[in-house]
Amino acid sequence: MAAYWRKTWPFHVLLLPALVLVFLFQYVPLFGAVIAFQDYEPWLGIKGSPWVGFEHFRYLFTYPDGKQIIWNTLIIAGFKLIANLIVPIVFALLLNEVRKTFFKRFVQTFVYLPHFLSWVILGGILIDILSTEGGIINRLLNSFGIQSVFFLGDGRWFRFTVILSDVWKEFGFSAIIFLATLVGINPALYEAAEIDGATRWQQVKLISVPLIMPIVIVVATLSLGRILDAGFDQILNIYNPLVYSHGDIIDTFVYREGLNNGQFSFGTAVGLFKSAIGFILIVISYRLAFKLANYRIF
Amino acid sequence: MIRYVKVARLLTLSVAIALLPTLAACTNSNNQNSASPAASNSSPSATEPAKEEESAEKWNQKFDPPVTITTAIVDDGTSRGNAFKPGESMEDNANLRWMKENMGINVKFDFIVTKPEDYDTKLRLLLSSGGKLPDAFAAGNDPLQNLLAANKLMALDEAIEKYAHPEYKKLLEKYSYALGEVKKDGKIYGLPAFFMGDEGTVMWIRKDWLENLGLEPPKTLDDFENVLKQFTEGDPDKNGKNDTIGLAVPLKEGPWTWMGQTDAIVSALTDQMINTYDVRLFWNKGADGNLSYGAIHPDAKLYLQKMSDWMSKGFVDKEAGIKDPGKASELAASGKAGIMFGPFWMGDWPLSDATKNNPDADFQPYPLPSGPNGLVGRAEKPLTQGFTVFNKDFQHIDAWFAYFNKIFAKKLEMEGDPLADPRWKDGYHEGYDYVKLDGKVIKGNYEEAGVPADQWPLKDGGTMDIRFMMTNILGNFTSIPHSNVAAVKKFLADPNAEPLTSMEFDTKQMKKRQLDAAGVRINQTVTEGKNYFTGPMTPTMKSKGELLKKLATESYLKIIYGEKPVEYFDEFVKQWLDNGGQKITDEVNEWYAKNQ
Amino acid sequence: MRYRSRGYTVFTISNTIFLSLLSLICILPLLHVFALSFSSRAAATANIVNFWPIGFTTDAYVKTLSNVMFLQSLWTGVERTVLGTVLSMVVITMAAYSLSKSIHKFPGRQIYIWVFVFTMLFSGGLIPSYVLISKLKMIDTLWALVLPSAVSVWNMILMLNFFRTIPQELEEAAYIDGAGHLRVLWSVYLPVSMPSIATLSLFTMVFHWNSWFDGMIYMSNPDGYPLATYLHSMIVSDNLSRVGVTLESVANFSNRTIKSAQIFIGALPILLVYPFLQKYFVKGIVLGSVKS
Repeated sequence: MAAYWRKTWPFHVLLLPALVLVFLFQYVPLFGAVIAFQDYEPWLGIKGSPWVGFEHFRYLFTYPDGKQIIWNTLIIAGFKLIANLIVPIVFALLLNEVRKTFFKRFVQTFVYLPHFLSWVILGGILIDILSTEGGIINRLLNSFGIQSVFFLGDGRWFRFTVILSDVWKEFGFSAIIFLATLVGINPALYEAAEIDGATRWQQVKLISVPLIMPIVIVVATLSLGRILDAGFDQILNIYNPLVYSHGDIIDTFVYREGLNNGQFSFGTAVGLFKSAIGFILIVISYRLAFKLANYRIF
Repeated sequence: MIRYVKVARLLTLSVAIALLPTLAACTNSNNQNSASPAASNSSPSATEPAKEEESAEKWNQKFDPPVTITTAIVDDGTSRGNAFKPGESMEDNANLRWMKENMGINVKFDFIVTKPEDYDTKLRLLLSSGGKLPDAFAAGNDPLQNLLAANKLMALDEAIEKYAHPEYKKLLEKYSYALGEVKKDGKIYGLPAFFMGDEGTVMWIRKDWLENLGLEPPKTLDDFENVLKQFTEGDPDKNGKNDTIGLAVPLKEGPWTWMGQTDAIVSALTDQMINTYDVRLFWNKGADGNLSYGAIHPDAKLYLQKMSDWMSKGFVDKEAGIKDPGKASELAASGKAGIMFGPFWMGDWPLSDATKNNPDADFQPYPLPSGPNGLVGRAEKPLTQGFTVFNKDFQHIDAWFAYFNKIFAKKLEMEGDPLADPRWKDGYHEGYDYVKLDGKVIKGNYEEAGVPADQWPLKDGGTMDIRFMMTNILGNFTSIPHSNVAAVKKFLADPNAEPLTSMEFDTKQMKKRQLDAAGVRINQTVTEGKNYFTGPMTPTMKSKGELLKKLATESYLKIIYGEKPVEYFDEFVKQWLDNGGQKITDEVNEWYAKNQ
Repeated sequence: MRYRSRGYTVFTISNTIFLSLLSLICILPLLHVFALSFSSRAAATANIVNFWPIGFTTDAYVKTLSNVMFLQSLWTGVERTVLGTVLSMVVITMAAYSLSKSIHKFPGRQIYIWVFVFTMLFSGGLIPSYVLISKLKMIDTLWALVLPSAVSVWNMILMLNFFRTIPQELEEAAYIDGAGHLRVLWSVYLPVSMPSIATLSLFTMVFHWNSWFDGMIYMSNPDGYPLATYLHSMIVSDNLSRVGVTLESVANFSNRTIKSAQIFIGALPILLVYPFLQKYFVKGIVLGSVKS
C-alpha cells in the first residue's frame, strides 16, 4: 500500500482540486434529487414533502400522448446525433484539404458563427425564410417548379426542418474539435506516405481518418448520454399546435406541464429518467469500445 | 431542470396603457395617529400652513423612528424606457430619498429581477430554502397559492378596514368577484392591481385599401367577409400583384390573445366567449346559472366553420397557426394584410409602422361588425393583473398604507380628498415628471414649451416614465378601472384642450390613432364577454390543464386548416371532457357556488 | 508535397466552391441581424430588411452603449469568462494529466473516472444547488458562477484523450533528465498540446459567455448579471402577455433593432478572441521531434 502511494501520490494530488469541486458542487446537491420520488412543495422542504414513489415516472408513460412524445424525442435526437457527428467530420476533412491559410481561416470563422445565435433569434429568422408566402426557400423551390412546402406547419417536414437547422447551426462549432485533432497529426506521416506514392485520397483514408477515429468515438460516446435531449430551446421556439403530434418532445412537454405549477418533482423525475438512460448507454458503449477496439474512451 | 422552472404565465393578458400615475390601488384612511405608536403626525420638515389642524393633515404622516420596508420587484431594464435619470436607479432615486425624508420610510430591495418568470422562480427558491420573504411584494398564480398554503401571508381585512383609502375600499367591494385567488377561509390575503380595462378589441382596417376598392367599412359579418375577399383578390394596393390577404391573425395561441385576437368574430356568432390556450379562460355563465367552458360549447362550431372557410379561400394568413401576435402583426406592418383586430394602442406600435414604410398606408379603427342574428361583442380582458401580498411578520403595514394612500389619492384626483398630498399637487417630483416654468406646470415637449435645456428632466428633452420610481413597495401598478373614459372623450371632442389632471396629461400623450380607437371602443357599447371563474387553479386544472390546452388548441387548428371536418368538434369535446374536462367543470361550478 | 494530379485539382476547385457556399449560408443570418441593427424600427417591424440596412441609423448602438446596465453586465460577463476559463482549464488540465496515465501506471484511475463521469449526467437540480450556494455565502459573488461549473467532465475527457496522443518518448526523455510529474506536465505536455488547450479554452469561454440561468438565480440584482443573463432577459421577455402593455413598452417593444445591436455586441468578444486562438487550429504543431 505504501508503495502504491509512493508511486502514485502526485496523480492523486493533481486530481484533488477537481475532486473537491465535484464533490461539493455535484455530489452534495445530488441528494436533492430524491424529490423525484416526492410531491415536493417548496414550503414543506425535502423533509416535509410526502413520498409518492414512482408516481411521477408512471405519469410520463401513462400520459395520453406519452408514447408519441418519447418516440418524437428519440427520432429527432437520434437523427441529430448521427448527423451532428458525420457532417462535422466530413467538413473538417474537407477543410483540412485546403492549403490556403487565409481561405481556411475565413471559412472556419464563418461556419462557427451560427452557434452563437440563440434559438429565440433563429426561430424568428426561420419562420421568415421558410414562409410559404415569399419566404426565400420556397421562392427557390418555386423557381424549380416545386410546390411550396409548409416546413413549420406540416408535421412530416417539421422534424426534417428541426434536424437540418440544428445541423446547420452546430456543424461548424462541432468541427473545431476534429480540426484541432487533424492539425495535431504529425506531417511526417503524410510525407512518408507521399514518398510511398500514396494519393491524397489514400492519405486521407489511411492516415487522417484512422487518427481522428479515437476522438470521434469519444465524442460519439459522450453524445449518447444526451440521447433524450432533442433540443428544447430550438423546438420551443419553432413548434406550434399544427405540429404537436410530430414535434412535441419530452422537454417541451415537461416545460408545459411545469408551466402552471412549478412541478419540481415531476421535472426532476424526468431528468433522472433521462440521466439513467444516458448513463446506461454510455456504460455500454464504453464497454463495447474496450472489447472491440481495445480502447479506453476515458 | 433549469428549464422546467419557468412558471406561471400571468393570467391577464395585458395591461392597458397603464397611464402614468397609475399605481396601486389601496386605500389608506390615514388615521395613523391612533393606529401606530411609531407614527408621529407632525412632520418637522413640512411647512404647509394647514399643519395645525388634525383632519387636514391626514396626508401628512412621518414615521419616527424611521421604518424599513423590504420588497422585491421586476425591473425590465429595456422596456421601462426613461425611468431614471443617469446615476439614479431603482435602488437609489429621488422618490426613495423623498420617502425617507418626508415619510420616514426606508425601502430595501431583497431582490430585483428582469422577468416575471424569474421573479416567480426567486420566490420559490426563497420558500424552498427557508429564506426570509420581503415585507410587501407582488405575487400571482402558483407562487401565490404556495405562499397561501404555506401560511406565510398576512390576512389583510383588519388593515384594510383601519388604514385603506375609503375610495379604494369601494373599489375592492365593487370588484370583489375578482379577488378569488387571494381569498382563504373568508379572509383577504392580497390587494389586487387592476387594469384600466380599456383594451377591448377594435377593428383596424386599411382605409386606403377600402377607398381604392370603393368599399364601405363593414358593418356586418357578411360585409366583413366581402372586404376580406376583396382585399385578398382585388389587388387593394394596386401594385398589379396578387400579394395581399384580408386578415392578419395569430392562431398559435388560440382565438383569444393579447393582440390580433378574434373575439369579435366569436361574439358576432354566439354569446359564448372562447379561448383554448388557458383552462381558466373563458368560463361562461349559462341560463341555468352554471359555468361552462366556452371552447367546448356547440356554438364554437359556427366560429370554426367561418374560420376554416376563410382559411380555405385564402382570406386569412395561411401561416396563422405558427404565428404569435407579434409575428402576425408583421404582416400588417409590411402592407400585406388589410385587417387586424386588437386593442386601441395598436395605433402606435405595430400599425403605425405600416405608414412609416408606405406613406399611403392608413390603418384606422372601426366598430366591430355584427353577426347574422345581430350579435356583436368582444371579450373582457380579466380585470386584475396580480396581487400585492404581505409577509405575515411585517410590522409596519400602517407605513405601507401611508405611502399607498398617497399614490392612490394622486391617481384618484378627487376634490377635497384629505389624503391627497398637497406637495404632489402638480405632479410627483419636480424636475422628474414635470417642470415649472413661470408658475406653469409642464409635463412633456419641454423644448416646445420653451423650458431651458438645463431644466429638462432628461438631457434629450424626453419625458420620464416615473411609474418605476414610484412603485417600489407597492408591488404592482394598479389603475382605477375605466377611469380614463372622460379624459378620452374630452380630447376626442377637442384635441387641443388643455389637460388639467394627471389622467388628462397622460391621455393627451396618446397618438391620434390610439385616441380615435379608444373613442371607437367607448362609443360602441356592446356586451363584453366576461370570465366568471376568478378563483385559484383547481386541482384538476393543475394536473390536466396543460393537456387540455394542447388538445383544444390543436383540435381548433386542425378544423380551421381543414385537416379535420367541423364534425370532428364533437369528438374533441368528448375527449376534452373525458380527459379531465368534466372534472374541472365540476370543480369550477363548486367554486362558483361558494363564491358568487 | 505533390498535389498535382488532375483529379486533385478538380477536387480542390469544387471543394473551394463548396466551402465558400457553406460559409455564405452560415454568415447570412448574422448578416441579417447586423443589417437589422442598423435599420429603422419601422423597416424591422415590417420585416423588409434582408442583408442590408434599410433606413440606416446608428440609434440602436447609441442606445445600447449608453445603457449603463448593458455596459455593467458586459464587464461582469468578461470577468466571469476570464476567471471561469482560467480556473477551469487549470483544474481540468491537472486532472486530465493524471487520468491520461494508463491503468498500469496509475492503478485506481478507473474509480476516479467513474466518479467524474457520473456527474456528467446526474445532478441534483435547482433547489439543492441554490441552498448549497446560499449556505456557502456565495450568493451575489462571481464564485457562484465559476466554481460549480469548473470541472467540465466532457472537456476533461477530451483533454485526457489529447494527452494520450503525446508520444511516450518525450515523456520518458524528461524523466530520465530527472523531471517530476509537474515539470513534465508543464514543459512537455503543455507546449505540444496548444491546439487542444486552445480548443478547450474556446469551449469553456463560450460556455461561460453564453450561460445565463445561473446568473439570474445566484444574483439578487440585475447589477450583478453577466451579459448573457442580461441579454436573455431582454430578448426573451418579448411576451407582452406577461407584463402588460404600457405606452412606454409599446414604444419600445419589438425594438428588434436594439435587440439586434445587443446580440451583435454580445457575439463580438468571442469573434475577437477567436482569431488569436485560431492560429493554433490552423498551423498545428510539429509533434514527435524526438521521434525523428
